[in-house]
Amino acid sequence: MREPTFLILTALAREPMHGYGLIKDVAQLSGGLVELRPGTLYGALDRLTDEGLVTPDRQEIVDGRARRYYRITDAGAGALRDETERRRVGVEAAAQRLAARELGFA
Amino acid sequence: MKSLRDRYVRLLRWYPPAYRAERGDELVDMYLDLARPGQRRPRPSDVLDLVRSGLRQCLREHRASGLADALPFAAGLAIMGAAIMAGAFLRIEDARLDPYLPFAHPGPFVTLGGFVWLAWLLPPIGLLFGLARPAVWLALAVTVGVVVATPLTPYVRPPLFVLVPQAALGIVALGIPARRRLVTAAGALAGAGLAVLVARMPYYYSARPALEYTATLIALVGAGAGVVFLARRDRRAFWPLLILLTPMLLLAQAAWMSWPEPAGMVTAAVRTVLDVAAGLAAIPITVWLRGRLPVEGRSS
Repeated sequence: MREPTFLILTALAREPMHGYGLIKDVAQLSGGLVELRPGTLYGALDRLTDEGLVTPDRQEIVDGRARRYYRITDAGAGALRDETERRRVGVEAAAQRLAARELGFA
Repeated sequence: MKSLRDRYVRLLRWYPPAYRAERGDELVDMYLDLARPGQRRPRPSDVLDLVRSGLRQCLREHRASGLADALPFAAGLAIMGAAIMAGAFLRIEDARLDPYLPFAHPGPFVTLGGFVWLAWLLPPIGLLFGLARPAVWLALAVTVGVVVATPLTPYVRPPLFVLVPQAALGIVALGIPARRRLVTAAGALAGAGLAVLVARMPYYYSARPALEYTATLIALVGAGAGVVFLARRDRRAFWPLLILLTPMLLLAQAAWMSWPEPAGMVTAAVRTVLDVAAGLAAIPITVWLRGRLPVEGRSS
Protein backbone atom coordinates (compact mmCIF):
# COMPACT_ATOMS: atom_id res chain seq x y z
CA MET A 1 0.00 0.00 0.00
CA ARG A 2 1.39 3.38 -1.01
CA GLU A 3 2.01 5.97 1.70
CA PRO A 4 -0.73 8.43 0.62
CA THR A 5 -3.31 5.61 0.54
CA PHE A 6 -2.24 4.46 4.00
CA LEU A 7 -2.52 8.01 5.35
CA ILE A 8 -5.94 8.64 3.75
CA LEU A 9 -7.35 5.42 5.21
CA THR A 10 -5.78 6.24 8.58
CA ALA A 11 -7.39 9.68 8.56
CA LEU A 12 -10.79 8.21 7.69
CA ALA A 13 -10.51 5.47 10.33
CA ARG A 14 -11.47 8.00 13.01
CA GLU A 15 -14.48 9.60 11.37
CA PRO A 16 -15.91 10.55 7.96
CA MET A 17 -14.08 13.55 6.53
CA HIS A 18 -14.35 15.95 3.59
CA GLY A 19 -11.53 16.63 1.15
CA TYR A 20 -10.15 19.76 2.78
CA GLY A 21 -10.15 18.10 6.21
CA LEU A 22 -8.40 15.07 4.73
CA ILE A 23 -5.62 17.19 3.23
CA LYS A 24 -5.00 18.84 6.59
CA ASP A 25 -5.17 15.56 8.53
CA VAL A 26 -2.86 13.70 6.14
CA ALA A 27 -0.31 16.53 6.40
CA GLN A 28 -0.50 16.34 10.20
CA LEU A 29 -0.28 12.53 10.30
CA SER A 30 2.81 12.57 8.10
CA GLY A 31 4.51 15.37 10.00
CA GLY A 32 4.18 17.61 6.94
CA LEU A 33 5.98 15.16 4.65
CA VAL A 34 2.92 14.31 2.51
CA GLU A 35 1.05 17.30 1.10
CA LEU A 36 -1.79 16.06 -1.06
CA ARG A 37 -3.14 18.43 -3.70
CA PRO A 38 -6.89 18.40 -4.35
CA GLY A 39 -6.68 16.76 -7.79
CA THR A 40 -4.48 13.97 -6.48
CA LEU A 41 -6.66 13.51 -3.40
CA TYR A 42 -9.87 13.24 -5.41
CA GLY A 43 -8.18 10.82 -7.82
CA ALA A 44 -7.11 8.68 -4.87
CA LEU A 45 -10.60 8.83 -3.32
CA ASP A 46 -12.16 7.82 -6.64
CA ARG A 47 -9.74 4.89 -6.93
CA LEU A 48 -10.39 3.81 -3.34
CA THR A 49 -14.13 4.10 -4.00
CA ASP A 50 -13.76 1.89 -7.10
CA GLU A 51 -11.90 -0.65 -4.96
CA GLY A 52 -14.59 -0.53 -2.26
CA LEU A 53 -12.24 0.74 0.45
CA VAL A 54 -14.01 4.08 0.99
CA THR A 55 -17.47 5.34 0.11
CA PRO A 56 -19.12 8.76 -0.14
CA ASP A 57 -20.93 9.50 3.14
CA ARG A 58 -22.89 12.74 2.84
CA GLN A 59 -22.69 16.23 1.43
CA GLU A 60 -22.93 19.48 3.36
CA ILE A 61 -22.81 23.14 2.45
CA VAL A 62 -20.37 25.01 4.70
CA ASP A 63 -19.89 28.78 4.17
CA GLY A 64 -21.57 28.40 0.80
CA ARG A 65 -19.14 25.69 -0.30
CA ALA A 66 -20.01 22.08 -1.02
CA ARG A 67 -18.28 19.56 1.22
CA ARG A 68 -18.53 15.90 0.27
CA TYR A 69 -17.71 13.55 3.13
CA TYR A 70 -16.11 10.14 2.74
CA ARG A 71 -16.00 7.24 5.16
CA ILE A 72 -13.93 4.09 5.32
CA THR A 73 -15.73 0.79 4.55
CA ASP A 74 -15.30 -2.53 6.34
CA ALA A 75 -13.07 -3.67 3.48
CA GLY A 76 -11.03 -0.46 3.83
CA ALA A 77 -10.68 -1.00 7.59
CA GLY A 78 -9.52 -4.56 6.89
CA ALA A 79 -6.94 -3.38 4.36
CA LEU A 80 -5.70 -0.74 6.81
CA ARG A 81 -5.49 -3.34 9.59
CA ASP A 82 -3.42 -5.68 7.36
CA GLU A 83 -1.10 -2.87 6.30
CA THR A 84 -0.71 -1.65 9.91
CA GLU A 85 0.23 -5.17 11.00
CA ARG A 86 2.73 -5.49 8.17
CA ARG A 87 4.33 -2.19 9.11
CA ARG A 88 4.29 -3.06 12.83
CA VAL A 89 6.25 -6.27 12.19
CA GLY A 90 8.84 -4.31 10.22
CA VAL A 91 9.12 -1.57 12.85
CA GLU A 92 9.48 -4.10 15.68
CA ALA A 93 12.21 -5.99 13.81
CA ALA A 94 14.07 -2.74 13.15
CA ALA A 95 13.73 -1.67 16.79
CA GLN A 96 15.04 -5.02 18.05
CA ARG A 97 18.06 -4.97 15.75
CA LEU A 98 18.89 -1.38 16.63
CA ALA A 99 18.64 -2.23 20.33
CA ALA A 100 20.92 -5.25 19.82
CA ARG A 101 23.37 -3.09 17.90
CA GLU A 102 23.49 -0.51 20.64
CA LEU A 103 24.14 -3.24 23.20
CA GLY A 104 27.02 -4.55 21.07
CA PHE A 105 25.42 -7.87 20.07
CA ALA A 106 25.50 -7.17 16.35
CA MET B 1 -9.38 40.79 -15.22
CA LYS B 2 -9.70 37.10 -14.46
CA SER B 3 -10.04 36.08 -10.82
CA LEU B 4 -8.12 33.22 -9.23
CA ARG B 5 -11.35 31.18 -9.28
CA ASP B 6 -11.73 31.76 -13.04
CA ARG B 7 -8.19 30.57 -13.63
CA TYR B 8 -8.74 27.38 -11.65
CA VAL B 9 -12.08 26.79 -13.37
CA ARG B 10 -10.32 27.13 -16.72
CA LEU B 11 -7.91 24.35 -15.76
CA LEU B 12 -10.85 22.02 -15.14
CA ARG B 13 -11.17 21.57 -18.90
CA TRP B 14 -8.73 18.68 -18.58
CA TYR B 15 -11.48 16.75 -16.76
CA PRO B 16 -14.35 14.95 -18.51
CA PRO B 17 -17.42 17.23 -18.79
CA ALA B 18 -19.63 15.06 -16.56
CA TYR B 19 -17.04 14.96 -13.78
CA ARG B 20 -16.43 18.68 -14.16
CA ALA B 21 -20.13 19.39 -13.77
CA GLU B 22 -20.46 17.17 -10.71
CA ARG B 23 -17.24 17.92 -8.82
CA GLY B 24 -15.74 21.01 -10.43
CA ASP B 25 -16.99 23.58 -7.90
CA GLU B 26 -15.89 21.39 -5.01
CA LEU B 27 -12.39 20.98 -6.46
CA VAL B 28 -11.96 24.69 -7.17
CA ASP B 29 -13.24 25.60 -3.68
CA MET B 30 -10.56 23.39 -2.21
CA TYR B 31 -7.78 25.00 -4.24
CA LEU B 32 -9.07 28.40 -3.11
CA ASP B 33 -9.10 27.24 0.52
CA LEU B 34 -5.46 26.20 0.14
CA ALA B 35 -4.38 29.33 -1.77
CA ARG B 36 -1.87 31.67 -0.18
CA PRO B 37 -3.01 35.17 0.82
CA GLY B 38 -2.70 37.44 -2.21
CA GLN B 39 -2.25 34.56 -4.66
CA ARG B 40 -3.45 35.63 -8.11
CA ARG B 41 -2.58 32.66 -10.30
CA PRO B 42 -2.66 28.87 -9.86
CA ARG B 43 0.66 27.57 -8.63
CA PRO B 44 2.63 25.49 -11.18
CA SER B 45 2.23 22.45 -8.93
CA ASP B 46 -1.55 22.99 -8.98
CA VAL B 47 -1.56 23.22 -12.78
CA LEU B 48 0.35 19.95 -13.00
CA ASP B 49 -1.93 18.38 -10.40
CA LEU B 50 -5.09 19.36 -12.30
CA VAL B 51 -3.77 18.32 -15.71
CA ARG B 52 -2.52 14.96 -14.46
CA SER B 53 -5.62 14.26 -12.39
CA GLY B 54 -7.93 15.36 -15.20
CA LEU B 55 -6.27 13.02 -17.68
CA ARG B 56 -6.43 10.19 -15.15
CA GLN B 57 -10.12 10.89 -14.70
CA CYS B 58 -10.61 10.68 -18.48
CA LEU B 59 -8.96 7.27 -18.43
CA ARG B 60 -11.12 6.22 -15.48
CA GLU B 61 -14.26 7.17 -17.42
CA HIS B 62 -13.12 4.77 -20.14
CA ARG B 63 -12.32 2.07 -17.58
CA ALA B 64 -8.66 2.43 -18.53
CA SER B 65 -7.14 3.61 -15.24
CA GLY B 66 -4.70 0.72 -15.53
CA LEU B 67 -2.91 2.60 -18.32
CA ALA B 68 -1.67 5.32 -15.99
CA ASP B 69 -0.96 2.81 -13.22
CA ALA B 70 1.08 0.68 -15.65
CA LEU B 71 3.42 3.43 -16.78
CA PRO B 72 5.99 3.05 -13.92
CA PHE B 73 6.21 -0.71 -14.53
CA ALA B 74 6.56 -0.21 -18.29
CA ALA B 75 9.20 2.45 -17.67
CA GLY B 76 11.18 0.09 -15.45
CA LEU B 77 11.00 -2.61 -18.12
CA ALA B 78 12.13 -0.08 -20.73
CA ILE B 79 15.15 0.85 -18.59
CA MET B 80 16.03 -2.85 -18.31
CA GLY B 81 15.73 -3.33 -22.08
CA ALA B 82 17.80 -0.24 -22.81
CA ALA B 83 20.49 -1.36 -20.35
CA ILE B 84 20.70 -4.81 -21.98
CA MET B 85 21.08 -3.21 -25.41
CA ALA B 86 23.74 -0.88 -24.02
CA GLY B 87 25.67 -3.77 -22.49
CA ALA B 88 25.55 -5.80 -25.70
CA PHE B 89 26.61 -2.92 -27.93
CA LEU B 90 29.42 -1.78 -25.64
CA ARG B 91 31.21 -4.95 -26.71
CA ILE B 92 31.02 -3.83 -30.34
CA GLU B 93 32.43 -0.46 -29.33
CA ASP B 94 35.56 -1.85 -27.67
CA ALA B 95 38.32 -0.57 -29.99
CA ARG B 96 40.90 -2.85 -28.35
CA LEU B 97 39.27 -5.84 -30.04
CA ASP B 98 40.36 -4.56 -33.46
CA PRO B 99 43.71 -2.72 -33.40
CA TYR B 100 43.64 -2.23 -37.19
CA LEU B 101 40.46 -0.17 -37.51
CA PRO B 102 40.45 1.41 -40.98
CA PHE B 103 38.91 4.68 -39.77
CA ALA B 104 39.39 7.25 -37.02
CA HIS B 105 37.84 6.24 -33.74
CA PRO B 106 37.10 8.29 -30.62
CA GLY B 107 39.40 7.13 -27.83
CA PRO B 108 38.59 3.65 -26.57
CA PHE B 109 35.50 3.32 -28.75
CA VAL B 110 35.02 2.25 -32.33
CA THR B 111 32.31 4.86 -32.94
CA LEU B 112 30.65 7.67 -30.99
CA GLY B 113 28.12 5.03 -29.97
CA GLY B 114 30.39 4.10 -27.07
CA PHE B 115 29.33 7.31 -25.33
CA VAL B 116 25.67 6.56 -26.10
CA TRP B 117 25.80 3.10 -24.53
CA LEU B 118 27.70 4.35 -21.50
CA ALA B 119 24.99 6.97 -21.01
CA TRP B 120 22.31 4.25 -21.13
CA LEU B 121 23.98 2.48 -18.20
CA LEU B 122 23.27 5.52 -16.03
CA PRO B 123 19.46 5.09 -15.63
CA PRO B 124 19.82 1.73 -13.78
CA ILE B 125 22.30 3.41 -11.44
CA GLY B 126 19.91 6.35 -11.10
CA LEU B 127 17.22 3.89 -9.96
CA LEU B 128 19.32 3.22 -6.87
CA PHE B 129 19.03 6.84 -5.81
CA GLY B 130 15.61 7.85 -7.14
CA LEU B 131 17.29 9.78 -9.97
CA ALA B 132 16.45 7.54 -12.90
CA ARG B 133 14.40 10.12 -14.80
CA PRO B 134 17.18 12.75 -15.03
CA ALA B 135 19.53 9.93 -16.08
CA VAL B 136 17.11 8.91 -18.85
CA TRP B 137 16.89 12.52 -20.04
CA LEU B 138 20.69 12.65 -20.13
CA ALA B 139 20.94 9.38 -22.07
CA LEU B 140 18.32 10.57 -24.56
CA ALA B 141 20.21 13.85 -24.98
CA VAL B 142 23.48 11.99 -25.63
CA THR B 143 21.73 9.71 -28.15
CA VAL B 144 20.19 12.58 -30.09
CA GLY B 145 23.34 14.67 -29.69
CA VAL B 146 25.51 11.95 -31.23
CA VAL B 147 23.19 11.64 -34.24
CA VAL B 148 23.19 15.40 -34.77
CA ALA B 149 26.89 16.00 -34.09
CA THR B 150 28.46 13.06 -35.93
CA PRO B 151 28.63 14.86 -39.35
CA LEU B 152 30.68 17.57 -37.62
CA THR B 153 33.29 15.06 -36.45
CA PRO B 154 35.70 12.68 -38.22
CA TYR B 155 34.01 9.76 -36.47
CA VAL B 156 31.08 7.52 -37.29
CA ARG B 157 28.05 6.60 -35.20
CA PRO B 158 25.97 3.44 -34.75
CA PRO B 159 23.27 2.93 -37.39
CA LEU B 160 19.84 4.40 -36.77
CA PHE B 161 18.21 0.98 -36.64
CA VAL B 162 19.75 0.46 -33.20
CA LEU B 163 19.51 4.08 -32.02
CA VAL B 164 15.82 4.59 -32.89
CA PRO B 165 14.50 1.63 -30.84
CA GLN B 166 16.83 2.67 -28.02
CA ALA B 167 15.40 6.20 -28.06
CA ALA B 168 11.87 4.75 -28.12
CA LEU B 169 12.68 2.69 -25.02
CA GLY B 170 14.06 5.87 -23.46
CA ILE B 171 10.86 7.83 -24.10
CA VAL B 172 8.85 5.13 -22.30
CA ALA B 173 11.49 5.11 -19.54
CA LEU B 174 10.72 8.77 -18.79
CA GLY B 175 7.62 7.49 -17.00
CA ILE B 176 9.75 6.18 -14.14
CA PRO B 177 8.76 7.68 -10.79
CA ALA B 178 11.25 9.69 -8.73
CA ARG B 179 11.81 7.08 -6.07
CA ARG B 180 14.29 4.27 -5.51
CA ARG B 181 13.52 0.99 -7.27
CA LEU B 182 16.15 -1.45 -6.13
CA VAL B 183 14.73 -4.61 -7.75
CA THR B 184 14.44 -2.95 -11.16
CA ALA B 185 17.94 -1.51 -10.77
CA ALA B 186 19.34 -4.92 -9.90
CA GLY B 187 17.57 -6.50 -12.89
CA ALA B 188 18.78 -3.84 -15.29
CA LEU B 189 22.39 -3.92 -14.06
CA ALA B 190 22.44 -7.74 -14.09
CA GLY B 191 21.00 -7.76 -17.62
CA ALA B 192 23.56 -5.22 -18.83
CA GLY B 193 26.41 -7.13 -17.19
CA LEU B 194 25.26 -10.42 -18.68
CA ALA B 195 24.96 -8.80 -22.11
CA VAL B 196 28.55 -7.49 -21.88
CA LEU B 197 29.75 -10.99 -21.00
CA VAL B 198 27.83 -13.03 -23.57
CA ALA B 199 27.52 -10.62 -26.54
CA ARG B 200 29.82 -11.71 -29.36
CA MET B 201 28.74 -9.48 -32.23
CA PRO B 202 31.61 -8.04 -34.26
CA TYR B 203 29.68 -5.10 -35.70
CA TYR B 204 26.23 -3.49 -35.72
CA TYR B 205 25.03 -5.21 -38.88
CA SER B 206 25.32 -8.52 -37.05
CA ALA B 207 23.37 -7.19 -34.08
CA ARG B 208 20.14 -9.07 -34.75
CA PRO B 209 20.51 -11.37 -31.72
CA ALA B 210 20.70 -8.43 -29.30
CA LEU B 211 17.64 -6.82 -30.84
CA GLU B 212 15.70 -10.08 -30.93
CA TYR B 213 16.59 -11.08 -27.39
CA THR B 214 15.71 -7.64 -26.02
CA ALA B 215 12.33 -7.57 -27.80
CA THR B 216 11.58 -11.13 -26.72
CA LEU B 217 12.58 -10.46 -23.12
CA ILE B 218 10.38 -7.36 -22.91
CA ALA B 219 7.47 -9.25 -24.45
CA LEU B 220 7.88 -12.24 -22.12
CA VAL B 221 8.27 -10.17 -18.95
CA GLY B 222 5.37 -7.93 -19.98
CA ALA B 223 3.14 -10.91 -20.78
CA GLY B 224 4.13 -12.74 -17.59
CA ALA B 225 3.47 -9.64 -15.50
CA GLY B 226 0.14 -9.22 -17.29
CA VAL B 227 -0.95 -12.72 -16.27
CA VAL B 228 0.08 -12.06 -12.65
CA PHE B 229 -1.63 -8.65 -12.64
CA LEU B 230 -4.83 -10.18 -14.01
CA ALA B 231 -4.76 -12.97 -11.43
CA ARG B 232 -4.37 -10.38 -8.67
CA ARG B 233 -7.10 -8.18 -10.17
CA ASP B 234 -4.43 -5.51 -10.59
CA ARG B 235 -5.67 -2.85 -13.02
CA ARG B 236 -2.30 -2.72 -14.80
CA ALA B 237 -3.10 -6.05 -16.49
CA PHE B 238 -1.54 -6.05 -19.98
CA TRP B 239 -1.26 -2.26 -20.26
CA PRO B 240 2.58 -2.32 -19.90
CA LEU B 241 2.78 -4.38 -23.09
CA LEU B 242 0.64 -1.87 -24.92
CA ILE B 243 2.78 1.03 -23.67
CA LEU B 244 5.91 -0.80 -24.88
CA LEU B 245 4.39 -1.76 -28.23
CA THR B 246 6.21 0.97 -30.21
CA PRO B 247 9.74 0.07 -28.99
CA MET B 248 8.98 -3.62 -29.46
CA LEU B 249 7.81 -3.06 -33.04
CA LEU B 250 10.93 -1.02 -33.77
CA LEU B 251 13.19 -3.69 -32.23
CA ALA B 252 11.43 -6.40 -34.22
CA GLN B 253 11.67 -4.43 -37.43
CA ALA B 254 15.37 -3.71 -36.90
CA ALA B 255 16.00 -7.41 -36.22
CA TRP B 256 14.03 -8.73 -39.17
CA MET B 257 14.86 -6.24 -41.87
CA SER B 258 18.03 -6.59 -43.89
CA TRP B 259 19.96 -3.39 -43.38
CA PRO B 260 21.18 -1.41 -45.13
CA GLU B 261 20.27 -1.75 -48.75
CA PRO B 262 20.40 1.27 -51.05
CA ALA B 263 16.84 0.67 -52.17
CA GLY B 264 15.79 -0.37 -48.67
CA MET B 265 16.46 2.85 -46.82
CA VAL B 266 13.22 4.48 -47.95
CA THR B 267 11.35 1.30 -47.10
CA ALA B 268 13.02 1.27 -43.70
CA ALA B 269 12.03 4.87 -43.05
CA VAL B 270 8.42 4.22 -44.10
CA ARG B 271 8.22 1.11 -41.96
CA THR B 272 9.66 2.99 -39.00
CA VAL B 273 6.99 5.67 -39.36
CA LEU B 274 4.32 2.98 -39.67
CA ASP B 275 5.64 1.17 -36.58
CA VAL B 276 5.58 4.35 -34.54
CA ALA B 277 2.12 5.30 -35.82
CA ALA B 278 0.72 1.82 -35.15
CA GLY B 279 2.31 1.61 -31.69
CA LEU B 280 1.08 5.04 -30.66
CA ALA B 281 -2.40 4.67 -32.18
CA ALA B 282 -2.94 1.36 -30.39
CA ILE B 283 -3.19 3.15 -27.03
CA PRO B 284 -6.01 5.65 -27.74
CA ILE B 285 -7.84 3.05 -29.84
CA THR B 286 -7.74 0.56 -26.97
CA VAL B 287 -8.89 3.21 -24.50
CA TRP B 288 -11.73 4.20 -26.82
CA LEU B 289 -12.78 0.59 -27.35
CA ARG B 290 -12.79 -0.06 -23.60
CA GLY B 291 -15.01 2.94 -23.12
CA ARG B 292 -17.54 1.39 -25.51
CA LEU B 293 -17.61 -2.02 -23.82
CA PRO B 294 -20.65 -2.83 -21.70
CA VAL B 295 -20.00 -2.17 -18.00
CA GLU B 296 -20.29 -5.86 -17.08
CA GLY B 297 -17.38 -6.74 -19.35
CA ARG B 298 -14.97 -4.15 -18.01
CA SER B 299 -12.69 -4.71 -15.07
CA SER B 300 -9.71 -2.36 -15.23
